[in-house]
Amino acid sequence: MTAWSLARKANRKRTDAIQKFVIYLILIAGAVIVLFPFLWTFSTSLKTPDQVYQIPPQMIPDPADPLNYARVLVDRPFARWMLNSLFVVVVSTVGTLLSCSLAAFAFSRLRWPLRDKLFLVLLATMMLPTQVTLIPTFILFKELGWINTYFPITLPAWFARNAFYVFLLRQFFMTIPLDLDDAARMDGASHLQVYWRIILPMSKPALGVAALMFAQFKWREFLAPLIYLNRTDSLTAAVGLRTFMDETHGTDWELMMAANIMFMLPVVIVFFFTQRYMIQGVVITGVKG
Amino acid sequence: MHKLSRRDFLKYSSLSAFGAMVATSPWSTLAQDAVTLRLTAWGNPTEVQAREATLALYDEMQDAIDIEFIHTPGSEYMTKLQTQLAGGDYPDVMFLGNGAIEPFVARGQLLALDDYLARDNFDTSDISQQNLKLYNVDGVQYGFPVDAPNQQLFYNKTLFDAAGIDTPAADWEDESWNWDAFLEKAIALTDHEAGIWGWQVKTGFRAWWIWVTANGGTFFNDEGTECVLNSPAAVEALQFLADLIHVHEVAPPLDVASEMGSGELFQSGVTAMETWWPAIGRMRTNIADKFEWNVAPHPAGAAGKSTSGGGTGHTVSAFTQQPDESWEFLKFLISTPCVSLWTDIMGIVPPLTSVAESDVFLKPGEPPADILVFTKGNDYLRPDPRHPQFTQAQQIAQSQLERLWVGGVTAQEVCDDAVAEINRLL
Repeated sequence: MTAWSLARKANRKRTDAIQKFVIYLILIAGAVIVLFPFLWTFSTSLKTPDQVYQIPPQMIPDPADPLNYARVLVDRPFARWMLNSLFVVVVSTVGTLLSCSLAAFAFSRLRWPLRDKLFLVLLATMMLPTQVTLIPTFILFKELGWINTYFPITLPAWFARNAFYVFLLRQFFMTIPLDLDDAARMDGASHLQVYWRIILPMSKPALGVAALMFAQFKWREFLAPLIYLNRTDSLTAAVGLRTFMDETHGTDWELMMAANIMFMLPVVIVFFFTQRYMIQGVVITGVKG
Repeated sequence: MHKLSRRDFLKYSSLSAFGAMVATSPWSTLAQDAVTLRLTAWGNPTEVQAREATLALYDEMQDAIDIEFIHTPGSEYMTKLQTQLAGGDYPDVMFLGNGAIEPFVARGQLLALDDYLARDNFDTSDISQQNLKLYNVDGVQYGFPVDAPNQQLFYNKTLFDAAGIDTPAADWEDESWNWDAFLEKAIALTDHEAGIWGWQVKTGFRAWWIWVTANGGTFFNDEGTECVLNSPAAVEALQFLADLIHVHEVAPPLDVASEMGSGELFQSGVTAMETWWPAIGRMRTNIADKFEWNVAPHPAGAAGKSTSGGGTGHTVSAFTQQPDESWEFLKFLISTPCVSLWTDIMGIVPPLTSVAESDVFLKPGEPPADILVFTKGNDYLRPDPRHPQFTQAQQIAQSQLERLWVGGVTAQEVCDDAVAEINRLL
């Protein structure tokens, strides 16, 4: 190897290193900007009421007051609210996955009259904002005697109410070759068996994405639990968080932030374990959760 | 280990979901003998505590009526209440801000109480009349006040003493406490080097409404057909406030105040005087022994002294199935035992004279020394203008006035623009 090529190699290495350095610098700057609100939330959650308004602000509170977290749990039934949220998320996510995938199966793998036209009608329901249907659905649930129960916020998920997930799964199911269905049918499989044994196992990535997106939405859902749940101990955490805000008497920001951290924690933990699916979700759907 | 098949997964998840739903179902509700009324209210944790204490007291006092308390957090209250009302899920007794009374009456959602007042010959003389009027539309009574809050001038007595200045007069009839005297004190108290400001211009409607009405200004003309915020009296008041920031420099500019946490300046000892709603309980806790503080009326303008405020009240839904029981409960809510308990826990200004004159409210030995400024101030209360378009009109005025507080324009220019925009709305 000539001295010239060695020098060139060293030069390229250096250029690569500089390039990498610049890219990392930009990424770190971006990460700091994105992470700052979280750091601020965390920092405030450890402050005393006096420190919250201190000028200049303290990023690392001294002394730190981790008891804020305990106060949140003692002052309000926050642990109960988190469990309520968990219950609502689990029940409605299972319902959404089963019902939406069944509907998507019918729209993508079965042939029946007016299938595509009805699919358009289903998609049209996505255009209706929740506020428009709020009062009619409220009247319906009231007539059913379901006010102040979890039915209105969990049961609709068992009837493929979310057209978006039907659409998402249908598009994915359509990428699976129909030959597989035909082969299974030749072996005597029923439609339901094809759905359960062929389509679902092959659609794990799409189901994972749908589950994550829906669970995240349900965890943060505000309006329906606010309207339908009346008892303080039956609230979900997203609505319960609102009880920390108080325009007239002043918000206890340190408690609010501690509650926020606890509220975020399950989502952050799920994100760490399912990053791959989340990123796939962005790729499949073109939308962020 | 047994591997969970998809069939099993489906079976167990459906079973568990169904089981959980049955467990939380409405079928578990037990039948009760007593009549159950539904009371809907918002409130912070202290209010919830006061609510629960008063309901426990009511429970002790009688057996015929049970109360189901529906608590909704803060600003989402109206969304939920309107959905309930539109959906036919009517609460019996509703906690409402006084500003909501007129629109609720216009929609026919409140029960008129006049027949009940007459039937029981109910004596309302102990209730602050100015506050009682807030729940009266066209001579018909629709509710009773929960509190009688009016905004007063809070001052840091320690800073006054250090500067060797007399504190503002607590006497509502003392006309020597006027705008000139106020400006003189604000200038003397301001010490930019020490970071002390004589005053903070609060930009909320009720904070500047005091100054406009004290100078003889109003928002709408008598017929309600025109906004008259650009009248000389109103303009002079607003210019006076803006000058406190930009000309006399006795109040911090808005950006400076907001950076320092404008809601906390007085409690941190940064401002010597400020307008506050009766946050007595909060001030006692937050200021503790950091400095001495007291309250006084705002200074008299060309038309005398004034205060703004309103508060909240209890009303009965027009659609209640139990109007008689709701009325009985409403009477309890405005009774001396209930108001005393509420005042004790909440630290508010009570709507009953009997409670306002008792130690429950006066709390001898605790600040503010001149606490009676609040109760005597009821006679000087200038409530928010009553007009169907007031909410939108106020929003327009507020956004126009922001330019005045920031600086660079005169009050006349801003008010002319606001009036033109509001009159288009009317």
